[in-house]
Amino acid sequence: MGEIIKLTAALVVISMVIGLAVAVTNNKTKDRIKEQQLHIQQSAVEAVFPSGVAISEHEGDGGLPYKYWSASDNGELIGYAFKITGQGYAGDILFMISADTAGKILGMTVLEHNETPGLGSRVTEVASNKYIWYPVGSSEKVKPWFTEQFEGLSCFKPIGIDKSGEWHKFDAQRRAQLQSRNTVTAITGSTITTAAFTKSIERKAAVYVASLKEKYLEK
Amino acid sequence: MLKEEVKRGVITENPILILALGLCPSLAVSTSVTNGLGMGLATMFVLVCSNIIISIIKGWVPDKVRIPCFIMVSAAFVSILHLFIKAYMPLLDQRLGIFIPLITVNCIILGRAEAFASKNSLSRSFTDGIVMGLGFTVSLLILSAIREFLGSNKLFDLMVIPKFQPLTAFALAPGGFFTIAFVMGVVSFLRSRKEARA
Repeated sequence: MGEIIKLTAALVVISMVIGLAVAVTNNKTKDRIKEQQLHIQQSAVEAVFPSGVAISEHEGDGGLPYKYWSASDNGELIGYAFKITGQGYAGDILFMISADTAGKILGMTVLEHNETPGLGSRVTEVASNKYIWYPVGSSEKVKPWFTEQFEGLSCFKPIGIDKSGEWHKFDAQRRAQLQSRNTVTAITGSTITTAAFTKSIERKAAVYVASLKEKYLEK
Repeated sequence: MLKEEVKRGVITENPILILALGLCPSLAVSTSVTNGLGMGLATMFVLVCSNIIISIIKGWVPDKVRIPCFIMVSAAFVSILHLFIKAYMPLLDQRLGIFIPLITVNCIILGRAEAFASKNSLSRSFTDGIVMGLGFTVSLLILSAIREFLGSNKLFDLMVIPKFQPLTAFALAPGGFFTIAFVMGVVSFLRSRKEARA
């Protein structure tokens, strides 16, 4: 009996001290963590719209995304942005997408994914020509090629998947050809990941864009 | 003294390559050098802190409940570390994801607590945390450099050789096993040769 009390007491004391330590750290860092998450979200919104536009945040209900952003240039509506998820190869892929009222995709950026490193994780790969022996500081600002190829495609039409090669290796003529067929190139060896994007755009983004358009036409 | 301790952690008792502890996270995060380095340093931090606390509390923790106590100590430091990483290094948090909370159950932490910190003085446990963490980090750097180079022709996310077609298998789990087996093989070959000479 005495031993059980002793064991319990030891566990209780340790858990209390540890609980306190974690609680204090949580209290000290929670504002900063929230700030960081907002910052990540904000830079994603800015990344999917053209630079220099006025962006405002909205909360939606009904058939609208629960949170979305609209951008306007000199009072003229350019398009909307919202987050959607797709069923990837390893769990959900969360990404931000923006489209104009006609359903033309303006920009896309991946927020979260758990795809296989070296295969599906290449959705965020930047087609960089930088080699390791280049001097540090020669930075270049390039978008990930996979999401960039969606720009200009229509989310109201089915998006095709081309497996003949990867977009970042194609010239302008080949890219225009793919664009006219509303088609993207698959990441080699990761067709499921690629289809996660095209399917969720067809199913979710198209519906959101259509209902947002309706809402703005009512006004 | 210090040189011997470093040699013990990095070479003669290397946690991954000799003791074969913590292979699971090593396979998972050694796909790129940046991830390997981040994971190595994060584990080192937790290892040093938990070794210190465990060597302090070793006297009064009843033997029967020592394992849950040790796990709680390491879990506490992992939670604190995870909060700090989320607050100050969100990019590292995105890259390592679930593997930061999983440091709690990394065998190296509990292994060193049980085998070393619960039997040795505070200063020796502290040194043990540093050198074992160093050994873990160095091994992760070796494994991830091989895998990132062969698997995606990159190091620190930068391209290495023009026109080299990477062997994607090395970026996947099987490649992780191949790499660990190969490096372990080389290490034990060198050891056996040294022993034969001595």
